[in-house]
Amino acid sequence: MPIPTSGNFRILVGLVASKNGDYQAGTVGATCGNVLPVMSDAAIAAYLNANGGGLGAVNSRWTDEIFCDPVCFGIFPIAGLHKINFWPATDEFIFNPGGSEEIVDILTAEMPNGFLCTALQLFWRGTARKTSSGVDIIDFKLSYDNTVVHSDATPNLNNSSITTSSTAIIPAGLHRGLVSALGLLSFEATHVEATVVPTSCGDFDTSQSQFQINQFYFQGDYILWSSNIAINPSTVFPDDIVTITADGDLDQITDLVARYRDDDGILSAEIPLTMISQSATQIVFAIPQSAFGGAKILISGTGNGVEFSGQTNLGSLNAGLVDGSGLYTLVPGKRDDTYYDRSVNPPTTVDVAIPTPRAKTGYFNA
Amino acid sequence: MPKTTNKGGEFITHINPVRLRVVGEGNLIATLYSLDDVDSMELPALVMTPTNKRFGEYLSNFQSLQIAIEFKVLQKDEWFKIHTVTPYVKPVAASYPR
Repeated sequence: MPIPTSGNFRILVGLVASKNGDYQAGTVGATCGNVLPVMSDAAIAAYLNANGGGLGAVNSRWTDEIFCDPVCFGIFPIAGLHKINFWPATDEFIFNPGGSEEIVDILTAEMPNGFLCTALQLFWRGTARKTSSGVDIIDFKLSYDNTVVHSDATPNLNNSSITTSSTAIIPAGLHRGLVSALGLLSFEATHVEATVVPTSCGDFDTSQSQFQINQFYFQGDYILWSSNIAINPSTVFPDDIVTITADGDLDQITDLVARYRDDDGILSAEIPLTMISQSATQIVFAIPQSAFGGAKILISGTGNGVEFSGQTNLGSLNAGLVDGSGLYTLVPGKRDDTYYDRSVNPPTTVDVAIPTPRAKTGYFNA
Repeated sequence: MPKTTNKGGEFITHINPVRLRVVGEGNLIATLYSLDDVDSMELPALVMTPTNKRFGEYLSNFQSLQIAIEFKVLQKDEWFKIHTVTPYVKPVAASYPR
């Protein structure tokens, strides 16, 4: 994900150690466009204690675990449910590029089940050092199956130490392991190779030059993988109870809506649905009469904007009763007809008089 | 005045009061109709109440060979429940002038 250049955003801090020892996420306010400040652990802990509630200590790696909140991202895709997350890859690597390429395996971390990665980036931060004079540049290369997908070169290391960082976007074609290994952010060959090679000839030796990578982490977008979501029953009638089940993360969904496509092929406005219950693996709701305007009812969920953003399809239902308006439902004591107006969102109802109740006698005479 | 033997409704009938046991809400509209609804007369509305110790009553002045009475309400939420209808009628002629 690119760093935004305008607008507002928040910094999300992940893997922050909490008082009870668990890792929790927190947020820190910031103004978009500013250079991200490198705050001290104490400062971020103080902020989270004051605003995030109960976070007592901060992992020293927090500065590498910030990323932009998609809530404020104007460029963030609005279609599809996304989760911005990161999966730490490793703690530290030290390269001693003394004439041969160093290769490391970047270990990957677990990703929640039920989601499919659609974009993946590798972030790294490292320090290049050289203790002798002379022109030396270290080239960091990220490759996969012998194909270089990213390359960064440091400035001249002339007897100096340079801290550098960069981002490599891993091409979609290299996500090969993801579909077959849902739930595990892994690669087909089990590793990504990171190599560091000197780009100049001469006095590059292990005693004088070193490239130390302090952090790797992945950041990705992913969508709910529809085949892992079940919606039941498949055919519904007004006020039926519907259950959506998935492997997890359904508790990230805040708003649930239904749409139908009418006989003219026009997609209806969003019809808000009220969730009866919600957990990470299940959402239960009732399908209202107003959703019955076509043969199919589409159910969509909206992310809570913290980890998810955008809207994604959660499944479709077959309408057992198409366009129920105009059909009578007998309601004891009700003295009028109710018409549904679906041209507005949310749909409204209008009570109108029943057409002239009447009674007529037979013909009689004296 | 012909004798009221009434065999098959041959006599032209005059109807004056129509008394009925009715409860409801709103205005009950009563209309008298001749055969095939060729002629009709809408009577002044009867204001109904959910309970009533008296019968409702319409006054009319309508003649026809045979007569039917229609009751209806026109407004939303109006309702009626009629238990008994008693029309007061008498024969006035054996036939129309030829």
